[in-house]
Amino acid sequence: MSLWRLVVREIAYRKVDFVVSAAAITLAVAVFVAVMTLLRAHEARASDLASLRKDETMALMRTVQDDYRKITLKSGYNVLVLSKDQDLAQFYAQGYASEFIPESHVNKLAESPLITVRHLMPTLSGTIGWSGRPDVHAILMGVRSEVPQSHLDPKAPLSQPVEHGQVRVGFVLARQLEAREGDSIDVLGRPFTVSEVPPERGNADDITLWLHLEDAQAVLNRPGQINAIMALSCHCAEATLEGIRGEISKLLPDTQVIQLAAQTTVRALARDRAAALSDETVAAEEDYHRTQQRQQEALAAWLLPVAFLCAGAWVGLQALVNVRARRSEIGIWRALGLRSRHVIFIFLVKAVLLGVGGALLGYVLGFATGLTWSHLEGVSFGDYGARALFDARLALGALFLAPFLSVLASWIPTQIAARQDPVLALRID
Amino acid sequence: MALLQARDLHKVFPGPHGKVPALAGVSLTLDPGEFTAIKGPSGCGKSTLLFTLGALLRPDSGNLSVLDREPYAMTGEERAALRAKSIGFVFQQFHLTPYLSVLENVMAPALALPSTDAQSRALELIDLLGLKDRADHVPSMLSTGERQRTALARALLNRPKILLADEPTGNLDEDNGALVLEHLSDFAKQGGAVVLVTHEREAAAHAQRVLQMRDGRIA
Repeated sequence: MSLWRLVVREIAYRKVDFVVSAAAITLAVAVFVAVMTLLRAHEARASDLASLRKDETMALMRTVQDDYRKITLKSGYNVLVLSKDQDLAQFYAQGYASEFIPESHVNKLAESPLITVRHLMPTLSGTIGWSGRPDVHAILMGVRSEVPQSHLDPKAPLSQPVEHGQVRVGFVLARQLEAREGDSIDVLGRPFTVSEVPPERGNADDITLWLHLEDAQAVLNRPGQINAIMALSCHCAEATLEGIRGEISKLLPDTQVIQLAAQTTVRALARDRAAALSDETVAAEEDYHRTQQRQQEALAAWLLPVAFLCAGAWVGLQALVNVRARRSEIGIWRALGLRSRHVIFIFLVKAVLLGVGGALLGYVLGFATGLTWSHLEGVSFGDYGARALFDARLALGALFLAPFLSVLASWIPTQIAARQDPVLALRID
Repeated sequence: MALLQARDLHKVFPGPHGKVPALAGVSLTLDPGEFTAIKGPSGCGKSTLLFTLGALLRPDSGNLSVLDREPYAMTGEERAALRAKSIGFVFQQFHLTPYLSVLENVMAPALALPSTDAQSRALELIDLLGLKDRADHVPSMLSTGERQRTALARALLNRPKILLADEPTGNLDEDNGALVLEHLSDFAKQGGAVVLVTHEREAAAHAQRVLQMRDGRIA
């Protein structure tokens, strides 16, 4: 027979006492595990929400950037390079430039290391009429493909140029000329096929006739000449109007630069503000969850010590009752020659078993409670299910903490047992 | 060589009306093979003497020598070791551990003094004391005589030199009492020393020497 066997036999003999003591440990551990599991669930939930919101924000930002590009496209290019001789009052009055610059300027820009402007597109504009139709006037706009900038990553073109021999006819103009897609129309004596009639835009585009740049140069008899280079300023800190002007004037001293698209800038700012607002919303939500978590941590901060204190007091009291009930037993052990350390071993091993039993049962109970509670609060556990809430450190912590608590609570009763006068015990009984 | 020598033992207990002398200069020698009975009225100090001789109760003064060693000059741990090895106890109330079987109760002293033959020795004693069929029973399933025989077997497990019995037949019927006393006699015949505290004339009759105690003294 060993001391271990003696302990186990005693537990079996006084099983109700053991269960009553273990129940206190179980309850304390269950409260501890349930609270920690709930906190973990809330932390996971807050993290998931934050992650979800961040993903949403990122998606929104991508949409905003795309919107910006599209809006910019619809609003037209926002930088225009004109001849230095161009009278801007006249330009704004008639809606197109009347002075010319060499087409080679666009190549100079494209080949330069300039980064503040992109999507370079040379244009040639002029007004035309139709003989026999004095009521019909059009703005002729010659365009060509965007000129690729050799030092920059290739970007998708913002608009598709008109093919040679084709013409894109503005909405109002098409109605006046009764032109439809596929029809052939005469432009200053040259036939062109209508490739597209864009929807009504409510501006000068509705009376514009788009041709390929070379076709326009031929029609207007301006070979090798253009009167504007349209460009998009980059959405970056360096792209101020003054900066762009300074850079372009170094390259093309005979030109001037104007900015057209203030509306685009406003819209971009609006989108930036929307993105900032989204960030603020995410931050507010995260803050809410943090506050909720802090409140629960504060609750745990007093609930857990109270639970463990009560359990410790209960276990200590039960151990004291046990020592008192076993006075005669302890007395005869001492008479038979068992030392104090044997008595201490017997009582502390029982305390450890009590703690381990309470910890195991308490963990299962607490985890189930925490899981159910968090489920009722609407926390979803994703692909990992309940395993997402399992914390090995918490399980180990409970497994060490409960026996430690039990030993601590049993310490004084154990010392009383170890120091008990055997003669007194044997005489009383 | 004497197994036990007590000289001028004194012990006083505090009482509600002042100090009560339990031992007032008791001297005693136990030789191997000697069966000594101590008689006397209740409260004369018999049990106090037995606990003191058993290295359980330190006297206020006087000397005790057990197998040429002085237990009260030792540490508590050394004294416990001496008890485990050399002294056996039998009490009127048996003091069996209620949740252990007869075999486990008999083997309990081996917890203090482990030995490889503890189980065979326990079974041998159980057989000797007529408890073979009761080896797996817990004390609540035993008769009083069987309980006392179990307690006696427990006292003999570690082959002590001295056996101290405090009213061992007090709760037993005549037959069981006689059986226990016979085993005590046998122990003495095998070279051990027995001190039997009793107030029964029949029990004392088994002893070679009967000492009368009164007011903490041996008359």
